[in-house]
Amino acid sequence: MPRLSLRDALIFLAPAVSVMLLITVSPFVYTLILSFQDWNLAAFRDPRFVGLDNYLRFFTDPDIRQALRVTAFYVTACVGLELVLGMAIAFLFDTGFKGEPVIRSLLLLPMVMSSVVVGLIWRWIFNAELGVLNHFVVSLGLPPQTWLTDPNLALASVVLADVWQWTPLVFLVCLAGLKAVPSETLESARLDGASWWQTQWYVCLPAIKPIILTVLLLRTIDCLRFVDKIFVMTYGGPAGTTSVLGFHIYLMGFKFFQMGLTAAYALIYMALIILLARLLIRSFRLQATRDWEGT
Amino acid sequence: MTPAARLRSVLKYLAVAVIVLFFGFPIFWTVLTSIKPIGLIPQMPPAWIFEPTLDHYRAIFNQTALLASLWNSLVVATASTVLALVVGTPAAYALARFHFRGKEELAFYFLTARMAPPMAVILPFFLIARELGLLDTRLILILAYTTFNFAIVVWLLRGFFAEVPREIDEAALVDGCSRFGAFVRVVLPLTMPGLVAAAIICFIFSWNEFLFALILTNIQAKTLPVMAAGFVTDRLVLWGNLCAAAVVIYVPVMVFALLTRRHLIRGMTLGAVR
Repeated sequence: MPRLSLRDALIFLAPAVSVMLLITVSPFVYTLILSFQDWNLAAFRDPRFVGLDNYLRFFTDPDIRQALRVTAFYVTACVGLELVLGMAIAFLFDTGFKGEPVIRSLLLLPMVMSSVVVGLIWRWIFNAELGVLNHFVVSLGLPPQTWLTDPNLALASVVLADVWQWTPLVFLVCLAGLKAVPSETLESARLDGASWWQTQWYVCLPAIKPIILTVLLLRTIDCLRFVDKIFVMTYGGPAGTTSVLGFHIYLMGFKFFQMGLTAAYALIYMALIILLARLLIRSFRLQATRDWEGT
Repeated sequence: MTPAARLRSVLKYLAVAVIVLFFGFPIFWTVLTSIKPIGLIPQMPPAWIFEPTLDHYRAIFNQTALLASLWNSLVVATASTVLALVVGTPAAYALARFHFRGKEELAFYFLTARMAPPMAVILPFFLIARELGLLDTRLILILAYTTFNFAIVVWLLRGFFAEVPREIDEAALVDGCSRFGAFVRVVLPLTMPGLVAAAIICFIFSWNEFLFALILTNIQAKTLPVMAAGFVTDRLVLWGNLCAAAVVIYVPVMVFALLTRRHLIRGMTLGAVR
């Protein structure tokens, strides 16, 4: 192949790089500058340079500590349940049954729904007076619950909505992995006298480990990023029990207009996620099946 | 069939039934509420069988605000998808074909735009847009959505381009095509399925996006998800209208998802899982 000059690469990359410089680097630099300032948009005062104060506040702010606790619970619960359920469903579907392809495509449906819409329809299901969930709960002879306003239940309710939406992704990813396990490998395991459980545990599970790692990181990152469901289901309440970090930062920025603090907190939040994204890229590379470079 | 095998098979179908119920019910319930006469909605226990009505759909489509939002969503999602494709596709090709120092860092940089928490991007976008008088315009939303669509295009198409054998580019170059000519006339047509998948996934993400639209728009450029969230107030919620709006927002992306189901997972995982 003719050697590719840097010039060639530049022609292809220049538009992309310039657009990205415009829409990511300039906002980033702006955020960085803001993060060293004390600036309340609602108060008629000029921004004031405060050095690292905003960053230091992050580590001493009790509200942040609370938000981090909520976030840790929320992300662990969502991702944990989605992984366990998604993998279990994948193993079940991998055995094959009548109608499996149709049901598999139907399970695509929740994850392309706007998470705001997911939040809204679950808010309707969870509704304390008219919600269908309480109808089921009552017909089982249990007391009705105020799902979204009870401090003990609100976060779990949001987790349930997220599990509903994203378990299918984990399921489909794992199923794709299971389907890619060579049938000879499975056959030889069977010939060696392995039971179905043993085959899944000792052959299939290790084979899909890299794929599981990828989807685990992807879900963790997205769970940390998105606050849409919390916004429409609980608005961080009751008493801050569902106020995850992203939502807390939203309130600081767009309810209390603390621009400097919000910028600093958002950058710390972003650094955390970039760290996870680094791991994600490494997990992409672990996947033996793929080769970015082609030949 | 032995009794044990029969039991296993019964249990399996039972598990499948539970799965279908859990994942299907919320969608079914939303559609059911959207066609339920308004008098029956507050009924407890809920009415399951009734004469369906399109009143809620009529009610929301009679609001000019909904039609405007529909148009905004359509324009913003389409424009941002096209922008990301036009600019991102050549970059994806370069990352798949050329070797240069810092290539992986560049690819990672593109990805960070998809991974960044919306809050970290929205704050500067909001303040810059406010200075430039771009708040509540479709343009600022299009630019904001391009940040994440771009990453989707680059990462997804890079994998598709890598699957096209290099010999095909070489043959085109030998036949007198320029680098760019070989890319546009020979490689792009071969990666059509990838382009379609990338376009649809960008469209879905932009169509569904909420937080950017909430903060960067107000009245003029409001999109459907923001409009729908506005249906919920503390005092009174018109659940029938809300469910009808949910269906209206959902149906286009649902159709797209089913059309591209073969590539959807690949797109959702940025090309990592086929």
